[in-house]
Amino acid sequence: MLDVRNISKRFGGVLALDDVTFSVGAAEIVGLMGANGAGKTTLFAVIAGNTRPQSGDVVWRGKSLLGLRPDQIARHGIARTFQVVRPFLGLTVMENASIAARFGARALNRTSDVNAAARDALQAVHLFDRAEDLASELTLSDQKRLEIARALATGAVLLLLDEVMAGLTPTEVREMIEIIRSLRNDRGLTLIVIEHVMRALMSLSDRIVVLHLGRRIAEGLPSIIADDPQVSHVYFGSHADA
Amino acid sequence: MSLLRDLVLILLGLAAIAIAGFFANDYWIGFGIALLAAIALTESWAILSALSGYISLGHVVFYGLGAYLVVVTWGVIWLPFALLLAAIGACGFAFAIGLPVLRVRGPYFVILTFGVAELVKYALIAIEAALGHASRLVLGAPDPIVILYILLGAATLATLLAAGVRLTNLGHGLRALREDEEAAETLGVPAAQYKLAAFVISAAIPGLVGGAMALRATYFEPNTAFDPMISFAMIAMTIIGGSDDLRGPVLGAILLTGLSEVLWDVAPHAYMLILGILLLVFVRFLPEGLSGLIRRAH
Repeated sequence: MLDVRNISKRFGGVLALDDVTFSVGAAEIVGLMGANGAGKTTLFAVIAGNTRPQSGDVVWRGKSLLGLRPDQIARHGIARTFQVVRPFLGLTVMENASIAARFGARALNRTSDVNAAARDALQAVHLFDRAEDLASELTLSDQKRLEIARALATGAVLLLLDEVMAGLTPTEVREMIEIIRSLRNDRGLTLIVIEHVMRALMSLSDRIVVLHLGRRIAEGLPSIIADDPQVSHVYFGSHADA
Repeated sequence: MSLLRDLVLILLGLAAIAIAGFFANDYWIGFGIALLAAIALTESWAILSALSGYISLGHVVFYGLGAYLVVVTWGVIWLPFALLLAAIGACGFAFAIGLPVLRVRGPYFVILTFGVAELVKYALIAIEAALGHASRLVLGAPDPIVILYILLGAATLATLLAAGVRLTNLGHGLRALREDEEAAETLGVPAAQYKLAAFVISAAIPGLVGGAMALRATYFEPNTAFDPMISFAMIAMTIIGGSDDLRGPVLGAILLTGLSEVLWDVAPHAYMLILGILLLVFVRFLPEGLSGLIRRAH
């Protein structure tokens, strides 16, 4: 469904992504793992069109996304969330979701359709009871869920979730895992998930791709990745070897 | 819905002015002209700046260009065509400069728009000087009552445009851009096109008003037609009236035009003093303006 082919992205002298290749199938949850600076968020930015790679290609349903603007990619059915949440603080929760439904892949026009889509997205992340509150009044956990609701309301079939569990309490993490699972199980969505909460990522993902300093160093089932010596070396540091 | 209620109220108010125009004396016609021009300009300015957050400090450039176009075509083409030309010319100029100008945000956009307006003013002064004009007179300009009705049309159009933008995806998209441009774009808002559309739409009525006001003044002189105070007034009226809905700009226009009229005779210098104090009070304590004050009272 999504093919990331030999993507390289350089920021000045730093090679943020170095010849990264992987693919994602329909209704799959792929976990993206790696230490800080591994290039995970940069990869999302490349797929979503926020930044352009120097080489390589991103192919979505057989068509290249390269050179498209973020809003055009959103209309193709891909939505990303931001690691540092970026809700429209001055608007209500409902307005946040409505704007996503008016644009994105759905591009709805009729107010009743927009409201239905926004309501559905908010319910999916258990945020509908806060619909009339300003986004600025939400807790971090709620703002993270609002990020997902907005991505969902666009009508996207591929969601790129960037650390939606970072900073949450264990209870909130469990709730978030259930929400993300249901997006795939009940809605058939495809997800790429960046997460530092390892247990969450292991239990959630069908497959895990590990990045290290911009390179893809491993890919496979969570159980295999967990036992990979190279992964534990770069991820947990040299102490793991000792 | 509050937008439709505001729209109906404003249109009823304008209809009342239309009727009152038949009975008004010269003084009230003069006041009506100032008030309607202020409503038309402020409502137009808010389409771009209040919705998208791109604060234009140079909207007078459209007003001045409109004035110039009407004055140079005076006696050559039929007045309604000249006014249409003023509006289209202003839109055309906005379209031409829009893409590069709208690439910068925040304070840079504010300064850049101010600079563009000043640049056009001095360019026009140079052109006029080369053509042998320091200013141009409009001989046989229409009666003030005609100008009142032209501006009534301008205020009505501006209100309808402002309501239309707010009701469609354009308005929703602009508000998203104001909150967070990158997040909005990632959700599918075509940022560059929407900003340009808002810029062009918000230029139309100021062009028309500039043309009508040049007829009212019966002369054109770049320093007056491109007076930065006209840009400042649009911002001040929106701040005081409230920026996030349709009635805010109208309330601000009524308050400041009324205040200026009352103080003009008695204490001309007091107007600027009071305006300054009002701005301080509103920015500091009532950022939602008069409109927000009414909302809270309900």
